[in-house]
Amino acid sequence: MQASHLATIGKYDKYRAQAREIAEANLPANLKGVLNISGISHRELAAFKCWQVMPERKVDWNWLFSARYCTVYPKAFDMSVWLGNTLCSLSLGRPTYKGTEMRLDFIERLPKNCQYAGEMFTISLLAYEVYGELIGARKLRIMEPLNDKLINHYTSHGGFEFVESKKGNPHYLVRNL
Amino acid sequence: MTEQDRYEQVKKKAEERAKELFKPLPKEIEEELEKESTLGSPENLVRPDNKDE
Repeated sequence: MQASHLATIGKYDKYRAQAREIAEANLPANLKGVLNISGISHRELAAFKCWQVMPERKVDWNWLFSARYCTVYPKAFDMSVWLGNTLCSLSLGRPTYKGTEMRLDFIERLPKNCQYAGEMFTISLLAYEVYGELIGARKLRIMEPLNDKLINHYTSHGGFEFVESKKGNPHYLVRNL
Repeated sequence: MTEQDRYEQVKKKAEERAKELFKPLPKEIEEELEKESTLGSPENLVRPDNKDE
């Protein structure tokens, strides 16, 4: 690995840590001190193995690739949410090629009995917005939002605009930071 | 602007944004968020970057 690549990883590690710290500090009162935000490392990947055997799980994504992904894309943002010793959520994203927009590419949460299930997306959204701001991005994208109900909600209340799929790229919601 | 200035500015902005984001959601939206356990796809990560963006 080139020295410049390593330097970028080191530089952005600081922004990643700051974004997680700021997001955690701004959790609402009922979640502050209850949920913890972290990156994705050996601990998270070990906990993820429990998800893989849950029949309620709807996808077969293997989060083991996240370590490689963050090496290939040194400006990527990885995040996990914990409730005590329970891994609640994992997410990954990265800036666009020119770095002007931050992408929230995908999230998965604990497939069964996830406390605060409805909050996991919002917590991730806050952290990705903060990270985007720290690295100088001007917009945040939510790639492939779930469905029309959510698209309508975020376009009418969250300051997001819908951008249709084109040239093989998926649709997304985008918001100015 | 120094890095520290930017950090402080982002921190302050996040406080305001958190107030907006963590407002109670309409029931149907809460239900959608509770129902779905995934968003997006890892395929997004391997699609080549659009170099114009």
